[in-house]
Amino acid sequence: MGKYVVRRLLQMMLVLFGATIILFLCLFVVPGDPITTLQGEGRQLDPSTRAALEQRYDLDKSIPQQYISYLGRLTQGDLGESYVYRRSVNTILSEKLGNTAKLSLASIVLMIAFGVAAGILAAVFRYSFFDVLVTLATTFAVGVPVLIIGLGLQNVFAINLGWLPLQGQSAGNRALILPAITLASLDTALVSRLMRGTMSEVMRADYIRTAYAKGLSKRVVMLKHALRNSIIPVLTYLGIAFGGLLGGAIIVETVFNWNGIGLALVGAIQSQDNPIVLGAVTYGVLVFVLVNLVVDVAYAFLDPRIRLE
Amino acid sequence: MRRIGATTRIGVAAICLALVAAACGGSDDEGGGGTAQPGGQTGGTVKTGGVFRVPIGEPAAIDPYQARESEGSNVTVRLFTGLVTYDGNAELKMRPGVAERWAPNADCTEWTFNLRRGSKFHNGEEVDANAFIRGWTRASIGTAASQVAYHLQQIQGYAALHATPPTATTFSGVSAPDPYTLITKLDAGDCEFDKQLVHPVASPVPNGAGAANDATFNDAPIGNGPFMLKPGTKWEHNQRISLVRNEQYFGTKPNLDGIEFIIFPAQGRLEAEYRAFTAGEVDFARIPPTLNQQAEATYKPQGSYIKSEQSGINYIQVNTAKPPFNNADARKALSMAIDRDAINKGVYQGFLTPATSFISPPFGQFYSPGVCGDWCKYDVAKAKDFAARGGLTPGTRLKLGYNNDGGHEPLVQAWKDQLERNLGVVVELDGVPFAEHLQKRDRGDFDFARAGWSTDYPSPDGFVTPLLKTGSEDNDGKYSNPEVDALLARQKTVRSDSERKKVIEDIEKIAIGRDLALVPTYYRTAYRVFDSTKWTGMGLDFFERPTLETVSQK
Repeated sequence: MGKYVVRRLLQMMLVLFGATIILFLCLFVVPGDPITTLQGEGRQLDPSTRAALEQRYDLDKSIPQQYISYLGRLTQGDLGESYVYRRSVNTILSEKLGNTAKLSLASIVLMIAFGVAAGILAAVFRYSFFDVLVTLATTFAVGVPVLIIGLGLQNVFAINLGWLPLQGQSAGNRALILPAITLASLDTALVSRLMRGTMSEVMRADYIRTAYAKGLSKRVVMLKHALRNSIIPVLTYLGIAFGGLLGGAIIVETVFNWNGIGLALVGAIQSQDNPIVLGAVTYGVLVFVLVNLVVDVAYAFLDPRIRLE
Repeated sequence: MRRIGATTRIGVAAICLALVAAACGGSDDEGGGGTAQPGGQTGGTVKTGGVFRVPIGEPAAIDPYQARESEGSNVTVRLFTGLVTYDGNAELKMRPGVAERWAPNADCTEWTFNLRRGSKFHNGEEVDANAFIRGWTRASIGTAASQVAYHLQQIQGYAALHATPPTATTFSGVSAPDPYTLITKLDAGDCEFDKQLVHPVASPVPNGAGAANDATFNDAPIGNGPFMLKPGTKWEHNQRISLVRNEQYFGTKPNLDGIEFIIFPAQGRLEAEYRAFTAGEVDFARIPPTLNQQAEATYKPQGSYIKSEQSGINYIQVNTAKPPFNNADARKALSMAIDRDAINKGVYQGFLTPATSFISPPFGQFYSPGVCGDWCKYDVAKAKDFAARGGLTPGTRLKLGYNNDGGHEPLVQAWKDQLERNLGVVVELDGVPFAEHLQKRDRGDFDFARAGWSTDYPSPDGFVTPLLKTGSEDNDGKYSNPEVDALLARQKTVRSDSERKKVIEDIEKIAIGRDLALVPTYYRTAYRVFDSTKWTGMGLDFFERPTLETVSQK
């Protein structure tokens, strides 16, 4: 088990290394140099300021040299300085990290609470009114774009009813409600579908019939036997979803002015603020790999047949 | 001075990362200046109090050394007051700031500023001449890599100080014989140097400011302006900046208790801030162009709708260095074959104003309406006549350059249709991203091009010198006329605005009225909404910033 985790962590280093190389190449083959983009619509930059900026950001060096010095700083945990804001990328991202984590946690809780529960109930009471209702609701959530759901919720609860804040984070936890619901909507629907599907299949299995034959109550059969055996695909999905969420949710962050990683990334790409792009993506890869490691370890606890070697 | 193009950019990096940007769309923030509309403060006592909430984007900097875009400047100008300020009325006059009196020598190469005594920074430190030297040096030194320091480039010693690496650490052209006198020597005479000092980069800074990249001062600048950072707070990045009234301010104190700048993400910002306004979460907002008609219908009757003429101008840059547009008659034919009114209605929902001059209305006394004369009027018969005379024969191929990241396609398509229909020429559209578009214009790789211009200081010089002077780096049309050059040189040495007005008029008469060196198309107009149920005295100043110093509660 310990060995397994260590091996996975070492693999992660390789993944990170590869990801940074690909990213670096991507960023530096983009036409137009970052300094010109930085100057934007302003007048042309004088040679002295350009030279100062190029020195400051290593842009006067060749791409391999830039990559090596980037890696050197990365091993010390330093992601460099933003071209646009002239602030440490570590600081910029850490300000946003808490917000992204908060939103992701709230969403994953909603997914588990509503997605898993609705899936179980729909499977247990198949073809009941509730099952049909869940099917309809999930079809809606999957079919309607997140952007529309977000704007719709804003219109109803912020503009018309005035119950919740429209945007921003100044209202504390109340400000979290609408973005979390919006962000969770699609995945909650998918989780409940997945849960219903696997659970329905498991319920037809022989060992479930055996459990009933032993005289166990429906509750015990469902929660102890059926659920445990059907949750693994759902868990895998939740892991992937959570990893993705922690990497930032661009549309939701935009609609609700939620100061998270996703917004930082989009803004940075548009302004060719490469240190932020590199930092945010490296961070995203790291989180994704870590969350999946946790999920893989969790399998072993849920299903004794799975061994981590 | 700045060129106006696009701010939206999604490059190959986006594709590499397989990202899908939000469908909200970016904002094409075409900055510019504007007229002051000192709002309806009609008699009675003005109420003080209240906190006015203004949406902005995350500034690149609020520290004056790098206040380089509209977002940052919007905050910096509340925190700092320089030597001089200006009055946004029709006269566009300079007004005292920290300097009570100031005057140039005979050839305008040396300026003496006499500072008021006892004006204080927010920390109680006195604002003296050294505070200005400190601020200017800190911004200009090469290691600061300031993108706005060039506003001080006329001062002696700038080049050495600004070099990379710097060859001097002090500003040789600036001195303070006593704490209340500041003497500034220029490399060449400029009788409008004081107007350049309106830019926030010319602000004073206190003793503890440190070097330009001082993170503490960058996030919590200590200024001397009408507002100061709320005590105990600093710039909360991507969230808010809270200011309160500076009770020690030497000038007219603002009516507001404070300003809350609420920071919105750049993506879909226009839409977001307008929605926040409709939900009552901000007191002021820009309007997405698509919602302008709706906003006008809703908010104009309540007196919440602001329409403000801007100093910026849209024009057609014509390449006067090669045929066919090296011929003035061909340029006039081009101009008269374009129906400005129809395009305004069809493309801009009538929200622009067709231009009849190069210098726009907010320049007040320097504005000469109608100087473009018949050339700016739509007249197909006359256009054909001039085209024949100017060698712009049917079938001529013309390359129309524009930047394809600013939503200009409907405009250039309309130009193409009208020119092809009216003159029988063949227009080839050449749309590239903004940076590349500028390079092509620099190289002269175009016949005519979409262009825009605005200025950073309240003087028509910011328009005429960069765009009309022979060899100026922004004169992409390569217009050159010794008569105009002589007037431009004279304009720099004229001491009074009334004389300057005459010179500017002459320049425009020749360069536009006779030569049509560039083709004015539209003046810019800015539209805003504000909550008139709570506030009064709201307008936009020359630089398109809300007049937060005059706003008061109803």
